[in-house]
Amino acid sequence: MTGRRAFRVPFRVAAYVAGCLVAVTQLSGCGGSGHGALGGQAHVTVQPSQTFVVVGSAATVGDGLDQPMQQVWARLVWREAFPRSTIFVNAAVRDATAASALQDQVPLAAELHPATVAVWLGSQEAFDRVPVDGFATDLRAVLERLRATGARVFVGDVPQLGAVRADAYNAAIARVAADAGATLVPLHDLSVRRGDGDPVFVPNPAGHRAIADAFVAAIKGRAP
Amino acid sequence: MLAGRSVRRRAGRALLTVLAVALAATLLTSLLIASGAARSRVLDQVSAGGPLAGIEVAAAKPDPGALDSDKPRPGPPRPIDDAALHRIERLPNVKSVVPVVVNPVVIVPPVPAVRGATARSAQANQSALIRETLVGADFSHPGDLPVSVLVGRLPHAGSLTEVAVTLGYAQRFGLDRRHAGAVVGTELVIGAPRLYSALGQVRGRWTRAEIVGVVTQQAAAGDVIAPIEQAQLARQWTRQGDLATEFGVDPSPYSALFVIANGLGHVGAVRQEINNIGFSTSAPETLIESVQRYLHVVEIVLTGIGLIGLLIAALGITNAMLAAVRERRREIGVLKAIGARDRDVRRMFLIEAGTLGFLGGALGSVFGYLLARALANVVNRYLAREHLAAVSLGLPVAVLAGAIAGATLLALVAGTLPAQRAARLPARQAMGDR
Repeated sequence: MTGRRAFRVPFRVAAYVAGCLVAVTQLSGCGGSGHGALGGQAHVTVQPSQTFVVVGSAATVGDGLDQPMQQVWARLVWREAFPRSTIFVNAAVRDATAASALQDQVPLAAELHPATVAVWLGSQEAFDRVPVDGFATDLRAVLERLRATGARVFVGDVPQLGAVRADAYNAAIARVAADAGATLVPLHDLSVRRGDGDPVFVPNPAGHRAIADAFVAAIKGRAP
Repeated sequence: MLAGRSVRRRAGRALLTVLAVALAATLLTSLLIASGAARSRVLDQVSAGGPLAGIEVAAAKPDPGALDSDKPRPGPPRPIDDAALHRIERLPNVKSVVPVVVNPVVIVPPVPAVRGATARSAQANQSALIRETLVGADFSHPGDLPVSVLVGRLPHAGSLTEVAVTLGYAQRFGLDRRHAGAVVGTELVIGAPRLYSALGQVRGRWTRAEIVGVVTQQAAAGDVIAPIEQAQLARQWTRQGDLATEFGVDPSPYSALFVIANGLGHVGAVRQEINNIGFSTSAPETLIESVQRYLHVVEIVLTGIGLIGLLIAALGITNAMLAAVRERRREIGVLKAIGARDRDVRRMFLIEAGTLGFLGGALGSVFGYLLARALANVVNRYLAREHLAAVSLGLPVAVLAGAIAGATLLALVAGTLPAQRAARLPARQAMGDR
């Protein structure tokens, strides 16, 4: 065997071994990054956030719903009308009136410096037949204090309550909203007819869906 | 030059010798690289993905009766404020200090339920809020945190809309480790509670965040991990309510600190210093030291196997060089006859042996690294299927350089005997043999 021939055979063996190693490495994805123990970190991102506050009464708390955390109108509005970074605080209190909201809800809303406030009051007063003038005075105070925070304020009127007439309250809400620079969200047509009785709004998931749609349309500047 | 010519003239034998050394070096380097990767993976597991020299500092005074324990009982509460944080930062042998803030929260289950969730768990979660703990940490230095990513990634530092969750969260939806990735990309609705005792009402400060990863973590007890800003805002909200302590929120600005010492050897001293300042500490130093001892034994065994391979290769070099000396007696005689000294002949054979060792070592290092990468990729595929953190090899320059240097050195030692024999060969005897 000459030296040249002796060289060729081991050279082929070496080339074969090297080729196999490279092939195995390539096939098994040698170049793959495979996340490390800590994953990748690129940059620091601090997003600006805004706050959305809701002022209301029992229906806004979610009374009567099976899954209030998913179905209440205020939460639907938060999810659908605002970016993910928006903070949501539901200040509503059961059986709240405009007068009690001034004490129990408005101070919290003011403290949070909200960008947007949705107000839905008046049903309790309509059921209790509170004098409209007193209601209008209290609602005006609520809206003015909320507007003073610099927030956009959206105020819903009272839907059909069956035998209880809410027209006078709705007229007051429209007047006060216009005076205070708030946006009126018309809810007075929301109702379902049950049997032979008067049309009535039912705060079930469909009712909350309808309220949410009206507020979302107003907040986004669309016609409902 | 003469040595080089000799190698070239007997290329076949030289190549086989180089291959023998290369194979031995391949074995040694791949074993060392693999054992190094396995070591870091095991220690990562023990330290929950965090730095090995990590120390947890609780917002509590140390309990004098439990100072020597890895996980001592904390004493009475003691707030950790910025002053305490800076004081600990300034201690000798402290590399970094990461504050941790926790706050109780409730979570609204996602609708629709997480893909792959079992029907029973989804139904159970729909009907009830999930009580959880939000753990906030500074993600601008993720390497300083006791967190290990299983799927996805960590939230970006400072993000108010990204969180990671632990396997415990995924298990609420009946998702095991293998399917935990299904929660990544879903949205969490997180509410921090504030009690209004006059109204008899708890109001939530609600935020929405996307789950970007599933992790294991040891920063604090809790299944939702977020940038510290999220947890601080939540905590601030809860603390401003009545009876915040009812929710387990103490007045401490930071719930805990995660301190990293300059190496495992300093952990004990740093813990002692922090205890002296007046805070309870815990660290898995005893456990890690025990695991390290066992891993060291494994490394010794694997290195021994690799060295046996190199030793066999060295015997091959000796054998090849002895054969070369026998074949080149006449050449040696001629060299000596024209004036070459013993040390010149010795040097020629040593250079030849060293060259073979160096080439074999270099080739073996490259092959060993590639082999280890290939093995690591096979292992990582298995780990990925099991949704476990991957092993990371990096480029172990010290191991590669050590293998080359070791193979060269061993070849020089192996070539000493033949070189000595060639050097001592009398010129006349060498010439007369032909």
